[in-house]
Amino acid sequence: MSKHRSFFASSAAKGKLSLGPRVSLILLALALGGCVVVPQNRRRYLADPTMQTVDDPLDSRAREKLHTAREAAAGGNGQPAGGGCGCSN
Amino acid sequence: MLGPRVARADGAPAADIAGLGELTLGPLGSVESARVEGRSVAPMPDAAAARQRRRTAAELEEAIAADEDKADGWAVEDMHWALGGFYQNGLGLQSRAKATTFTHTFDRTRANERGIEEAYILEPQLLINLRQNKRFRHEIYLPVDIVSAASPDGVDLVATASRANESFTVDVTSTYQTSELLDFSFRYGFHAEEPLRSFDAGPSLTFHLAENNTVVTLSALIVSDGFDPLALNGKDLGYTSRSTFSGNLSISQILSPTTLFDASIGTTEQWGTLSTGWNSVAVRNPPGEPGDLYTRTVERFPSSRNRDAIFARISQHIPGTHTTIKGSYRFYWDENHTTAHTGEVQIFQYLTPWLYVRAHGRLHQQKAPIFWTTYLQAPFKETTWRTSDSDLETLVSREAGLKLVLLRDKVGKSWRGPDSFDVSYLRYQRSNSLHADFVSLGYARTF
Repeated sequence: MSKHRSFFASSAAKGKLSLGPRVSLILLALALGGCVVVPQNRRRYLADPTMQTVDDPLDSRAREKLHTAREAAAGGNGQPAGGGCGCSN
Repeated sequence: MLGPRVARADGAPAADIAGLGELTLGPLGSVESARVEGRSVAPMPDAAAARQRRRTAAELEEAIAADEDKADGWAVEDMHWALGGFYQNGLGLQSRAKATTFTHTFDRTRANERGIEEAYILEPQLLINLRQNKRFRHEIYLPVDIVSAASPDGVDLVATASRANESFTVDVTSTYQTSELLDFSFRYGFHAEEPLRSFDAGPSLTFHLAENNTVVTLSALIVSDGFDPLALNGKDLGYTSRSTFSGNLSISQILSPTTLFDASIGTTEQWGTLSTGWNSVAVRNPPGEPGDLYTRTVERFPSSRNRDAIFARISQHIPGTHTTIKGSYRFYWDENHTTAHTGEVQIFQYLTPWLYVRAHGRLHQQKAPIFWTTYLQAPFKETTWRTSDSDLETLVSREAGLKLVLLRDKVGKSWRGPDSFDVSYLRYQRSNSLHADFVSLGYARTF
């Protein structure tokens, strides 16, 4: 019914990259553009609790569960997709 | 996802070791380049200043050595506890509940109308970080869900899962620090609820590059779900299963002393029974035929699915106003032609050095899978893919919330302590008639 569209699939025949790799390359270029080494003694603000990638692990997991169980976009982020009352999502 | 390590390798904060004041370690944590900040130091003669520097460095070295000795052996490093409560209400096509009290009968002539999805959910959670020795750590996550009306629908009315359900999860991540550059982790867990059991396991590698300015994590996870599908009359049809493989690459990059960028990209492959096993779809019988206008059939999904997502976030701290702003975007797509865009902004504002407030807003837009339908027109092939699950419908969801966090390690000496408290509220609203309110209380303590 639906044609398989893997993330890494590309329109090789047309010589074009599919959306996933294209966005990845843009993000990688952005990240590499900022590759300056900030020494540890200048990371005072980065050590602030508000600057952590996950500022509160339990709050983050509770919100993720709320979204996983009520929306169709779980998976693809390294977390289990499936399980529980949101298992079809 | 792990962020760049800005504290010491053993997880202890770089500040205030041994009560010496605001200390910041030099590159790679060297004691020689440590310096004292946040103090007004009176001018001293060069010799006296040199002696002071030597003494400070010696004291610091001694404190770190004592701290490292303590770091060997089993110990609880920190613990987080939270109690959350949801109230959800609204309408959903998979729900057949016509009132807040459930009934075992419903009007078959109106069977494709949306039913009530009212539910109360209580969610206690516990997270413990254990240290086994200097290099080996374990994160143990224990959430429990107590749910009223987990999935109320016509089928589920005869299963107890619709009226009350409890779920329990054990999720452990053990991390071994092989060197300053590489961590190896293994995640394993178990999840149980009526009528589902689930196991997951998978490794991950974390590379700390360029003095931890760049952290790259590569992870994989396999999940095996087993559950009981139900017939339309509520009969338990036995046992079925599905398997999930997820691969994920994430990167965290320091862009400046106040700016952090992180991103991830992942793919998930699922196969087996991908439907819930208890959702149903309305079937509209041809007009003029005797019998009910609408009947019900079970939902049916393809036997495999690939789903992918990409995520990026920028975090910026503004020292002048003690504000942190985070902006993120996530794009999701799968081979059932479901796509979703999610954007979120978080603003953290310190009101005092020990109290901050977080405000956030989230906007999510999704397109339904190609086989989503409000009802099937009879006759139809039994193998036709179909679902009426309102969670999968084309929709927009909005969310806004506030959180207040009190850091006791930063209050005055009379009430100082190694813990923190938080209280939060959020409102979640979907365009297809569903909303949820979530209140949470949290407590965290460092040992």
